Amino acid sequence: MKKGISLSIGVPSFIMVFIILCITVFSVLSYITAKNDASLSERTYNSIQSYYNADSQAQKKISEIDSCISDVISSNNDKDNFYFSLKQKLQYDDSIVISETDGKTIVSFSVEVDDVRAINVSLTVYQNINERYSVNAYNLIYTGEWDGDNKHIEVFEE
Amino acid sequence: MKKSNNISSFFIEIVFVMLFFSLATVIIMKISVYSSVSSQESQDKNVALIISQNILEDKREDYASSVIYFDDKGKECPEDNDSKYYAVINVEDNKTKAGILKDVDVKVYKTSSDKMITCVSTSDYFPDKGVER
Repeated sequence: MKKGISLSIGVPSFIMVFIILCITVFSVLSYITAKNDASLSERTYNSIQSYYNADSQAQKKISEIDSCISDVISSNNDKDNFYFSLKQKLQYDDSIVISETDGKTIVSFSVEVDDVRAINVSLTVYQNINERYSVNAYNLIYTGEWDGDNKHIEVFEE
Repeated sequence: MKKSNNISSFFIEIVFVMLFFSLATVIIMKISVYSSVSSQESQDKNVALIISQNILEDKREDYASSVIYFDDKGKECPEDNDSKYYAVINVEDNKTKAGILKDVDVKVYKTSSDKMITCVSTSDYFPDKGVER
């Protein structure tokens, strides 16, 4: 009474197919992990590159500021006029801020690393040709917005 | 008649299972190759980044153009001692009005293929006289 060919799958074949499927799934998972690791390494590389680019710009800016200080000290004998002369000399760059606090001349600027980081530099300037400046701060700062204060943090679950 | 039907269904099953097996093997092999290449690349990049950063931070005071060899863990080693990576440091001195601006380039290569993995460059300013850095 039976017509045609009956296609029944055997238990060993079924187990083999299942095992192969499992191995395929695991290999796909390991590939995804390797891919994610590679993309993380790439992002780290880009982040380090942008940090050192910003570091390089900051060092170049310090060298320019030092040249200006040196020029002002050599050309200006009037010590009272030093601050204004230096301010005038550094006017070419809007990112450089010069201020005078407690008789000290402070020059500061920041260089953007990426959207949320910047290198912040602050120098104290002296009217001494042999010791023209000292570095007060040279640090990486977070420039993104912190909005954690406005959020209610659930410490204990109710 | 029943016997011949059973035999043909057995063969069809075997053929399908073998086809599935070979297809799956090819796919698994391809995926394994891709994942092994990918993980090797990320490992190389991570080690190269550590090497570059170490050079840029540790050798700040006495930069000099040179080639340094490293083992697979990023540790400095002699050239002939199974070095896996090498770093080419290129230093260019630019005289400014009040000091020297050193442009430093650190390129890390894989010894086996001479393929460049990372290139990180920065500058460092060295003022002329007694300025505290």
